[in-house]
Amino acid sequence: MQYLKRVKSRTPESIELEFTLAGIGSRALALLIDYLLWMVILTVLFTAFAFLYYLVAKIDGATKWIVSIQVLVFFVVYIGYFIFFETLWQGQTPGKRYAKIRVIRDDGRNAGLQQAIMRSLLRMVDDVFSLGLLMILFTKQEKRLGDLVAGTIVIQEAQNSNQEIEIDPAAQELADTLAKTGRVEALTPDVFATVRRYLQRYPTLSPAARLTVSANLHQELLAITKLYPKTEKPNCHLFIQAIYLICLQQYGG
Amino acid sequence: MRKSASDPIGTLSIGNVVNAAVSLYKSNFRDFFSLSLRSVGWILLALVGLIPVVLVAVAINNIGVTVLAAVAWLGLFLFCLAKSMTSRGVVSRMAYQQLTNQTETLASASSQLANSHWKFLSLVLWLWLFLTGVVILAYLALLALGGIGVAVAMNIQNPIGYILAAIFILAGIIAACWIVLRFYSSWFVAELPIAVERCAGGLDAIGRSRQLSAPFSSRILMIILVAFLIVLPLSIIASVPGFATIGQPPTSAVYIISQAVNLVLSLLLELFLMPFWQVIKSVVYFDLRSRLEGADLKM
Repeated sequence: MQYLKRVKSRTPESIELEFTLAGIGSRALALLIDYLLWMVILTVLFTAFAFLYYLVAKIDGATKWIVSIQVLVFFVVYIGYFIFFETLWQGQTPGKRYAKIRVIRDDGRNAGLQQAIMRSLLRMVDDVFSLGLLMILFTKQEKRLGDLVAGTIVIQEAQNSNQEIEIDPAAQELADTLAKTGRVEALTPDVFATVRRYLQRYPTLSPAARLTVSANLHQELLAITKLYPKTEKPNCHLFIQAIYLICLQQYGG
Repeated sequence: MRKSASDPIGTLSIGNVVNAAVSLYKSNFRDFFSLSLRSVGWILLALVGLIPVVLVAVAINNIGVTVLAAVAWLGLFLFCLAKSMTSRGVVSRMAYQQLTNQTETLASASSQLANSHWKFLSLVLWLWLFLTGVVILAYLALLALGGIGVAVAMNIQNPIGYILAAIFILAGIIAACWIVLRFYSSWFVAELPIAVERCAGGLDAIGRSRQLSAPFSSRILMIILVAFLIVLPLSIIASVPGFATIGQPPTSAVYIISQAVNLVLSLLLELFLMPFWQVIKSVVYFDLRSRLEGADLKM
């Protein structure tokens, strides 16, 4: 998608890698999920401490201790949640997993404990006056203060393009027949990409859309290949599947 | 809810809908902001038009003349509203056309929608009517469940009774929110069919929006929530002067100044955020059409 920012990284071995940045939307989604989870954890802790207060209320001086421990535990959870998950899951938290994004180092290597600690400690500063939000919105590499200091970027995980495609057994037969005409050599990688996307998305299209999209694609493919259907009511979906099989042979998976 | 993990290839995840909208807004800021100025300008004109009506009512003190002036103002208000809604529609149209690689200039998008004022007006009037109905429905749900809660608390006067009452009242609040949000999400993209398709009018557009949104209402709500989270800091800043009026008598200087600052900030907020929400609607509409109708599946 052209509306997503891409950045290039160079690994210590001088290999150039290209990543799609997570963007403010995916980062806000991840933060929303993480803060919800984090609030659940804090609520459970708060209830547990309330119960503890009730138990030790009559013991002299115990309340002061509980308050100190409570402050410490809350601080550890506030900071520790992100450190724990980003270290354990290599740059991901539950929210980032849901949003399919990940923290990596500027050079493309996995983020570790050191990066997680710096990002987490500076999260408080980033949250004040929405500094982090503004920096993500208006800087080239979408880095908040924590990212700048830790030397990290937040990227999108690659979308899985190998979704299953169902092929009708009759399509192979048609593909062989079409191949014999010699008119299918003009099929470009662009055609292949569109046909593959159509077949991957076919199950989720509405029934009416299946008919119109397959008919339109069929017409476009006929124009490209200069083939003519033998019947008045051709099976457009089958024809597209056959073209896909031919492309698959030409370009591979 | 559909997880982002299951987004079919070529469609947008929740986060990327918002990302694409932010990117489109930033790259078209000048055009979209000028349309926003136009949209807010029309509403301001309607508000300014109210001043002579009030003056006439006070000066002449005749019920017939006052009613006549009020009717004239209502006409002006509807005209300004139609114009304002059209400017919003132009923002959505320009964003959508860019998404489909058929970029239009501000002038050409405006001329395409030059005759759609009354369609947009009928849409907004129908939406207001439906929204009133939905709010009444939500209120009734809250009243019914809350009423049961109160009745339970009064009849079973022990902790279990109170907990049951609290559960009923909470269920009432959740049901009311659910009703409003559910309908809101189904009308979210209703301006787009008028802006980019040949849609006959407001009711048709609402029907089309509902048809596209039905399978994805939770997804649309999540997108709205994420977008809201991004603009929340701006909204908080704009609401600060409102707090200064708490406990102040309406005639005090602090109250009047706070209200004036509040009005200016609200207008500024509308100026900056209107295009953002319009573009979000366009991206959601584009994504819904891709998902359901395969609108992007072309050579």
